[in-house]
Amino acid sequence: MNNRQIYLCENDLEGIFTAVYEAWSGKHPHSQVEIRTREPDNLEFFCEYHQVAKDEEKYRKVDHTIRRKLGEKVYEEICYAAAASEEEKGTAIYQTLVEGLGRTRPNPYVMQNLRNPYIRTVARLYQKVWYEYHHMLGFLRFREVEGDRLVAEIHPDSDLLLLLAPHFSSRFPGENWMILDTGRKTALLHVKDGGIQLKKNVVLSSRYDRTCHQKGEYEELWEEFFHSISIKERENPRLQKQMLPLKYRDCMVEFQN
Amino acid sequence: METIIQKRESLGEKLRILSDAAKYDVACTSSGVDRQGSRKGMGNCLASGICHSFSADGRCISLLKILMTNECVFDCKYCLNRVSNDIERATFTPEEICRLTMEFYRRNFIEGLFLSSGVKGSPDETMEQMIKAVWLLRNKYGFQGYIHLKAIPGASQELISQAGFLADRMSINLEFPTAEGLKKLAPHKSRTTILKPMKAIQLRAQENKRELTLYRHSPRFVPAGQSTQMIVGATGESDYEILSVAESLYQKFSLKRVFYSAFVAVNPDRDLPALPQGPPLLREHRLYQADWLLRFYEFKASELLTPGQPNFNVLIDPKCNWALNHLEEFPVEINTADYHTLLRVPGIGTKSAWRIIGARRYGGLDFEHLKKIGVVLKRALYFITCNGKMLYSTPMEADYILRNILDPRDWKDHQGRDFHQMSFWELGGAGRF
Repeated sequence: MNNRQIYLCENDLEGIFTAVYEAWSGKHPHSQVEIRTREPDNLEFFCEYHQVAKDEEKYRKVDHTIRRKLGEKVYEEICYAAAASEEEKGTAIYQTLVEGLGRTRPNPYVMQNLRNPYIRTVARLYQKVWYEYHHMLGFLRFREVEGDRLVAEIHPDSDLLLLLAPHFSSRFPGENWMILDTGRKTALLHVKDGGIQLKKNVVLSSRYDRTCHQKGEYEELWEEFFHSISIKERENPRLQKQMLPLKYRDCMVEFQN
Repeated sequence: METIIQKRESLGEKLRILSDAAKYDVACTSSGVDRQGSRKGMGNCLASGICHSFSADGRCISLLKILMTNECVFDCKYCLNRVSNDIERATFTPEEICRLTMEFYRRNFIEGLFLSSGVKGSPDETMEQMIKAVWLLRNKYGFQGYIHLKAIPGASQELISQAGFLADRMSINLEFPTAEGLKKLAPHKSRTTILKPMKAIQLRAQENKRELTLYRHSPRFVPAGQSTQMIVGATGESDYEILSVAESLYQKFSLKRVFYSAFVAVNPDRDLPALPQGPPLLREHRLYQADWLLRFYEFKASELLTPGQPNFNVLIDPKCNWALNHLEEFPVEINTADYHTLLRVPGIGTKSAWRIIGARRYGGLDFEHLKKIGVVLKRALYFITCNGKMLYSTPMEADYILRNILDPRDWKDHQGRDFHQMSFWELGGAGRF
């Protein structure tokens, strides 16, 4: 009866937390539990598979427990790690929570235990997603369509939209804007002086297509600025590439030539 | 129609001229202040700062860095905008500055505005115009992003105090570490006209802190602090002099940052060096590293350099340089050393030092753990032990460690300036071959 218990869930925070709830209440030995966010290519022997459907209430319970017992900092690291594209994140989050909550008393310093490989994985994924998030805060570009709307297209490795929402709503409360993740086909929509929502299966209509629009006045001014601010005697494309990796550039107007 | 095109061109022209003229100012950071956006205006600030792009020279673009005008009555020999240079001159109106800032900010091109200026008319007149632009931006356009404002040397205290309530950060360039350098190359500036406003900003900021403890919502004065800049390599000063000046600025003027700018020869002048190999970029880099050691690693300038050894070995970083001169403090035992001791080990930064302290509570650490925690073992392995053992049994000899740490490509440049020169046969005995 030492089969591995594999929980399959949807690839977002709500899905993973629901799976954590289900797996925990399944009362298996913790070390047997794995959480996966992708359907396996091959079924393996000595494994029991459990399909987990999203459940808002179970998600909330897990969410609440983590925040209350482990604190906001641990919660933040887990949320960022859950946005990573790596498949190993589910199991790592589960085993980290086992370390933090499964002992006699909760340990808010659980993330310091970097000797534990699962915690190390969560810490590594947190860092990776955080870097991409932080890069995106700066490298994302809005362009104006139909006068008063701002549209940004991104295609990050990690699922960043929900993480980006607080920053941009605080920054541009009085604008209608949209950030589109072209890879995942999800979009964050913000209405002027109103709320913000996440939409799935969004495709940009062809009239907003970047390629059929000419650069606007301020895009051209920005390009002018971008070139004149560089010091010729110091030119260093390697350093530039190190600081601003190529993968970000195809969404940035100053690199469109 | 024609007039509109005319106007657009002129704004683009102005932007080209006035950003080109501002590019030698290094400070483009947007850090030091956290501010949530409000319902009314536009913008917020993040204490960590955000880089929005990187120009071809690899420097961060965070702020719209421009001069208000590049007309100038001063004749500083190192400066492109000096009065005796025959160059295109332009001046932005306050409205133009606001429009550019707002429209760039909306598109997420920038984090805010960096406004400097040549001295047009008098220092006070110039400062007034700059304040006008920033006031409009804050009050008419509701801009809550980052503003870095240059204080003009010689401007009155009253104006500087006004400016400080509108800006997040202010700075006055020290230009040169020594008063003689300044006198020789910037005849219209003096130590007094630079240090007086610097002191005034510091005192006003301290006063503001007291006000804020009494009245939480009183306006904030330069919340992101004050910075300055020094040009490196235009006069003959040593790294030791530069670093000592920086240290005293941090201590006596509570500066947030001191920036170093490798001298770029824009004007041919007999008082300036020619620099055929280009600006001293590596030296600048080493100074920044040393600056970090002063601010975050609890080093003193006098520990890193001495009057007898006043310059860094550009081939290794200042911390390695220090460690090689203080081998008596090593090796450090990872499982027992305190934070301050760990910080001094080459290859261990503030983050990995904290991680070591946190992780070893859960059990002893070995080299495999250290590698995964993010310690740069390539440099650290000569200086540390885990449970009493070194990674390899490497000798505690400066020469040995130096030649193993150095990039082999740099060996030929290493003149044995600070250490014993290796002969070919000695090299043959090193572990690397």
